[in-house]
Amino acid sequence: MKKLLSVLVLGFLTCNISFADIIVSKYLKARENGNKRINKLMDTRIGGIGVGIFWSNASIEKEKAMYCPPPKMSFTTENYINFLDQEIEDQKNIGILSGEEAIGMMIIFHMREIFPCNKYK
Amino acid sequence: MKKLFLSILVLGLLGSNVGSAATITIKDYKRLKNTDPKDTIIDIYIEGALQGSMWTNALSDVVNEDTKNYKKIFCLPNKMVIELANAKTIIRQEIPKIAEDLSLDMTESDFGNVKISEVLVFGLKRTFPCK
Repeated sequence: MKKLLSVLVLGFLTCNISFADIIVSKYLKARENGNKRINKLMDTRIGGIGVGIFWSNASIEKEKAMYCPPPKMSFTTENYINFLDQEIEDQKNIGILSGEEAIGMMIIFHMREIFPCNKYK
Repeated sequence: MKKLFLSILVLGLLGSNVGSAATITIKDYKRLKNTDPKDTIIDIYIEGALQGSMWTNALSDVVNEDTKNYKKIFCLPNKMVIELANAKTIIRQEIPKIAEDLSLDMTESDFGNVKISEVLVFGLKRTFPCK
């Protein structure tokens, strides 16, 4: 948890993230709304984030990767949605969720948690 | 660059649906460009892929700050804001470059199956290389 927090803080302080990002509070609001079209567009966005994370991670040398899934493991949009929802739940449960977190960052955190690379074990 | 691209590409093609959440390929991209004139779906998808790439690049840099010889995936100039329009331009410019790079190694059908998110990541690497 300490590591997660330090990455979170460092991430906010040092990352050059300046593009149209969706934050958790907006994501939850969109889901609560229950509008089918909005939900579908949100799913498309999360699928896009997922493949962006996947191919970026694949282009990092293995020992420096962000997460290490089992070989030949495939991920669906539903998987990425579950990673996001679970991470939101986990952070809510331990009282660190502010709602300002970017959903892309949350998905990576969860993937690191469930698919750790050897160096993190 | 070509060697790395090919090895990742093989992972993408042979591993069939590895990393394939609602995967949009070059073939799909060209088709959607014609059938979805407002680019709604493709824009939302590309913006997502850009976010995923940006976060992975930024967080991997933080996580590997003590790792020797770590090189970021791509390096944006300081204070540069990268938006959907930039990502689309990068993809548009990267597709012919990839076609040229891989013309001897791939069939046209294989080329059409290259993922657009892969194209984006390689375009970001080529456009903003780390020195």
